[in-house]
Amino acid sequence: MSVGSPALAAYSLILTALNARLVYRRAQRIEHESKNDVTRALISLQQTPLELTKDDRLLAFIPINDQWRLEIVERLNRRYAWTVATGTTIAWVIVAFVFTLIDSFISLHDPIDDAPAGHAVGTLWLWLLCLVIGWLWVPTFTCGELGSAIRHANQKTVKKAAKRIRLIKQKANKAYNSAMTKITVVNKFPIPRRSRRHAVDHIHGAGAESQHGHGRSVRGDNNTANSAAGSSRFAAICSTAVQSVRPEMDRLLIPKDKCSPLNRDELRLSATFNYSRIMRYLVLVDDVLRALNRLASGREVGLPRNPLILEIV
Amino acid sequence: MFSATVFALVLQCGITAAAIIIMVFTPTVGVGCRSLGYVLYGGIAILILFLTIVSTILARISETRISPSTTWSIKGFTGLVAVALRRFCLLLAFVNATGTIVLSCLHFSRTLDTCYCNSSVIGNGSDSYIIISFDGQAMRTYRIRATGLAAACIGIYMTFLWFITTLPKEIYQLV
Repeated sequence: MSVGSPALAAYSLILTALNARLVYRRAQRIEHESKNDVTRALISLQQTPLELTKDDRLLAFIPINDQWRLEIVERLNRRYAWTVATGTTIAWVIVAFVFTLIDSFISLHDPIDDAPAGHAVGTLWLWLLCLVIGWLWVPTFTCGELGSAIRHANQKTVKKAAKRIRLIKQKANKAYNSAMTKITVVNKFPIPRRSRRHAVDHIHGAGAESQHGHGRSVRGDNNTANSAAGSSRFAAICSTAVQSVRPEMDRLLIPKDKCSPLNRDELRLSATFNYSRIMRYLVLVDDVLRALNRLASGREVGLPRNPLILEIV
Repeated sequence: MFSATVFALVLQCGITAAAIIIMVFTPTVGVGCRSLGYVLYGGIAILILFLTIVSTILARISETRISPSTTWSIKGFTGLVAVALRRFCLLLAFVNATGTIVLSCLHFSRTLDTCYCNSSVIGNGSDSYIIISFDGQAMRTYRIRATGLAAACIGIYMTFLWFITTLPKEIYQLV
């Protein structure tokens, strides 16, 4: 596509750079701790179709997310930096072009020699050099890479969460055992199954509370008591544990782990296709930055009811 | 969007124009097979750019309308045209790219080194002639100018890009 229309590729490149500048300028006015992360993500993900979502079932929604965010942002940061290889290649191209020029001027008096062809063709392909250098300056991230980054981050986060949950479970078990001993000692009667469950749940809640000092931790407990299914119990514990870790985490930049088939033809052009989504991108930037501003100015206290999450369409 | 278009055009036009100048003013002076190929290439590239911008605008119009009850509507129509234009641009770009590569190959393999091409029949018509011996001085000035033009366009584009890409370091540093 960019060979067919260098103008289009150049246009896309300039748009990317201009958008980056715009996002940066607008984000500078906001005072929020995750300002730089948000800016970085918005800049790097210009080539990825993004949309805001209110779906709170995503892993990213769970506020353990410092880990998740770090993972993603670290990946996003990777630019196609200047390496010896790229530098050498570009230098080599320039040297070749200079030789072509020299040849073209030396063989001026020779009508049979086809040197002007080299000169003209060389000039015609010069845009390639500009665009390659340009894309080295501008950080971008395509949908496929984003997908792998998200999977990686998901795995890491889940591992970390599982570890935390295991810790909490151990503590709760200890508390449960000691409580049971106390109860048996006091009552000298076998305890009915039902009230045992209740005791466990209570201890779970108490354990989490005492460990992290947040009152919100009991949310999943009804579920825990009612559902026998291991997975939902796990999920409930997970959300409990995880919410009690850090409830005030912002949930702004969380893409979903899929690229929908609707935009396949756009995705195939992913290197330079941001031109076709420029309007949508600008609206998105506006939304995200306004939400961030709201978070920063503290108009929403505690957990916002509809957190904004970025999703790949 | 506007400045992006302008600078993209500067790059494309500058480079293509330089190539065309070199070819046209290489005796025999006039539009021949090679320079016509360049003109077509540059023209189609710019056409693609404009069609894509139109497609973007139409897609935006389609996006912002509420979906209507009737079958024929602005939303549906603009959406259709936008997608059609985008596909068409892709096809055109493919054709153009193939054409350019083939043209470059023909150049270097001297397939275009024929009497018809060398005498620039396309531009000069019945007045066309062929060179047997000539003095290269006039050609030199044109070549220098053309190279200067290409360099200037690249310079403008890269300088602009450099200015708008330099963001503070904290945006790119690792956490």
